[in-house]
Amino acid sequence: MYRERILYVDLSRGKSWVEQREARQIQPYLGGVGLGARLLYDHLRPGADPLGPENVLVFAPGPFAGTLVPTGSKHAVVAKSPLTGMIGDSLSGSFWSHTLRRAGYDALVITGRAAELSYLVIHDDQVHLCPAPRLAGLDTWATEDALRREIGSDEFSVATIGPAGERLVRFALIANDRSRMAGRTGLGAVMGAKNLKAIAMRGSQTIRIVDMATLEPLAMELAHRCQGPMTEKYRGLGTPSNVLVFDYLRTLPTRNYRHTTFEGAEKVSGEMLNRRYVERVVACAGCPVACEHVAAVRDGPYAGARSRMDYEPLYAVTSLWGVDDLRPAIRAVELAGLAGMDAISAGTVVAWAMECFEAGILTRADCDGLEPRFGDAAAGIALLEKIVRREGIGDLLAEGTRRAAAQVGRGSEAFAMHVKGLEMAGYDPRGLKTMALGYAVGTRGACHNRAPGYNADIQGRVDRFNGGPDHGAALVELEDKAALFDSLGLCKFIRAVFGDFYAEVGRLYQAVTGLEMTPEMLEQAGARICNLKKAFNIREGWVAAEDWLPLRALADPTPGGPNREPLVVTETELRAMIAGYYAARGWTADGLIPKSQLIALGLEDIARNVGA
Amino acid sequence: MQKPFIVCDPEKCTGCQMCEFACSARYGGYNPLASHIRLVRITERARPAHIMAIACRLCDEPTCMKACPRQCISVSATSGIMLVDKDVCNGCGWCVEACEFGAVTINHGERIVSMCNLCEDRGGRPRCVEVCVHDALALTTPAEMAARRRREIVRSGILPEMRPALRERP
Repeated sequence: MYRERILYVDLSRGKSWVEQREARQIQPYLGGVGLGARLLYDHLRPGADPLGPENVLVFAPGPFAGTLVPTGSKHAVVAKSPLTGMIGDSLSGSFWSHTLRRAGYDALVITGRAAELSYLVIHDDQVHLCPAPRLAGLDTWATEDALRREIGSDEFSVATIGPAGERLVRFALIANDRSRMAGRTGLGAVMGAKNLKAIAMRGSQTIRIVDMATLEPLAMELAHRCQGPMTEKYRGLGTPSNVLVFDYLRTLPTRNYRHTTFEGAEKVSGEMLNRRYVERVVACAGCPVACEHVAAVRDGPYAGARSRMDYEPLYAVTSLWGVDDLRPAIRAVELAGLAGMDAISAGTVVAWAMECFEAGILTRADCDGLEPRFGDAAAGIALLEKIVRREGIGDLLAEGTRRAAAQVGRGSEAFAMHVKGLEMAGYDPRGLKTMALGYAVGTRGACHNRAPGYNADIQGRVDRFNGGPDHGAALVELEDKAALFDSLGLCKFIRAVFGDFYAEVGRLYQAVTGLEMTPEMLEQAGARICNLKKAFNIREGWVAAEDWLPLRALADPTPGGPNREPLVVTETELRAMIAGYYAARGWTADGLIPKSQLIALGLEDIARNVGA
Repeated sequence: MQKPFIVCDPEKCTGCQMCEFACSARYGGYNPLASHIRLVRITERARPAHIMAIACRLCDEPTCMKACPRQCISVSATSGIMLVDKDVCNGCGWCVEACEFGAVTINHGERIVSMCNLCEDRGGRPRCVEVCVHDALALTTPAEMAARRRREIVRSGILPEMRPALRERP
């Protein structure tokens, strides 16, 4: 069942209060990203500074968190992004997610700014704000340990920022339970700007289930399906198995997207990672899949490095840098996690700096004596360290690729690989046209999780090499479904184990909450949430020109070769895809949402604000 | 003779917590704090993670029983599970402190102690074992567990002393 309570904390006044919110009012947004986006829309003053006290930081688990529903223990973190100035929504999971529900809340809304670095302790109805300047500079793991020691209990789950968040690195993240992270869109900087180092939580209440007799067999049937072929990738080699597949598909970002295949791919492949470095596979709380591959380095200059390794952080510090050695990669990903910053964005801004250096745009002096060239892992790691400290060139790079390129200028904008300020993920758009469209129109920028167009491309539902209006409809379907996963707090890694997703999820939802949830209601909820996020962006001043791709995707064809054409996104096809997407969404040709559509989705108040 | 109890293989346990959820469902909802089997995760930077679940080990000479000042814990002659006299227990918690394995919990609702009863009420089919999709949990004795381990390790062809060499094989 929903807890029907939302906890508000105003850090400026040191006050907290609870708002009762009926399950029926939460249901249209489900929970997670949907509920978080709604609360952000309701509470944020348009135009507010993302790094000012006004920004609203929402934590919202899904309705399945803390139940036997497989992978249901995830939560969304939502705020205005300091990287994009638009909606920032990021997901994490595990113990912290269901602890918030067991403490009695469907969401936690944080406003204001503490007078000094502080942490929050939430134990059921007790909420304390504790000043803690002594925690300054501690990494994410050390902060967890320090808080448990200080509170005197191991039963607290901790969400925390690292030094990157404290120093307002614009792509800082929020980590919880060691290695789970709300990684993208810089929400750790929002927390840092609020002087909030961490949130330690314990919940002792029971999550009530309306229809246990129906839920348990459904949940276990799904859990057993999660041991089948549809999750083999995640349980077996893990997401790093993408490296060789993407190299084959010519979509592996290499040397800052100069290339889409990497001659060193085998050396940094999931196969190599597992054969040499993976020592343990771990699950999130509530997940029968278990995908977290923890790798450790035993020899060489990076001996002792140990980190969870997934495809996105991995490509961002190997092929993207032209590095063909997993040992520095494990160190770099460990460093990013401990410092609390998004390895995708950090890796991309470093790759941009490498290209600037090779092109003579940045000099040795600009780089504080470093010579960051492609292939030089040590220089890459040195730059990451400088970013965390905001030291020298690190201060520039900590602003993210868009701002760094704007400041440096001199043509460096041409290879700044971001959309709306969010660095691209590990899918080169030139050979995946629905992905290209998703990057261009995605509400949080160039993202593979909210606008997962690659699914349509790789499964062959559309022509991945030639974009057209049909790609728009394919993307809408994928975005709406992604919004359901992100709002129900389900992991997308189990997306293929469902037979009839809408019917099965509807039954689970009904059994847990007691509220009706038909396939039609679910489909409409997906559309509602995507439109709501877009409406937020429109209110923040989104203009159609921002739905576009970095110049390199449009102007630099990938190198061709025997039996393969160079790949590029043409302006004409991008325009056709975007027009197709807006039409499939029911939006105007300028990408605005008609009032009538917002009203049909039950968003009357928003229709008055931003409806066209 | 050692009675069977819930044993966890730390090499297979992923820390997914499904056993805690499922066990606690007997109280009408989900709450790991009410579970009779508890998951432990110890993650430190310098060493591989330790992950496993612990339930009552059905000790031959239970320290919980000895510690109880009201003599409300006894051992079932048939199954070996700890029986708690709910009318006598006042939730003082001496047994919780005394158990070397941390396998005794205080039920928050009733304020009395509770321990794994091997799901006697479900016909002796432990729910935690049923939901463990990784086959890490088993209702077994340490001797049976050891035999299973021996068979598995021989079948796998990977004895511990061979592992470092295999890992480094290019």
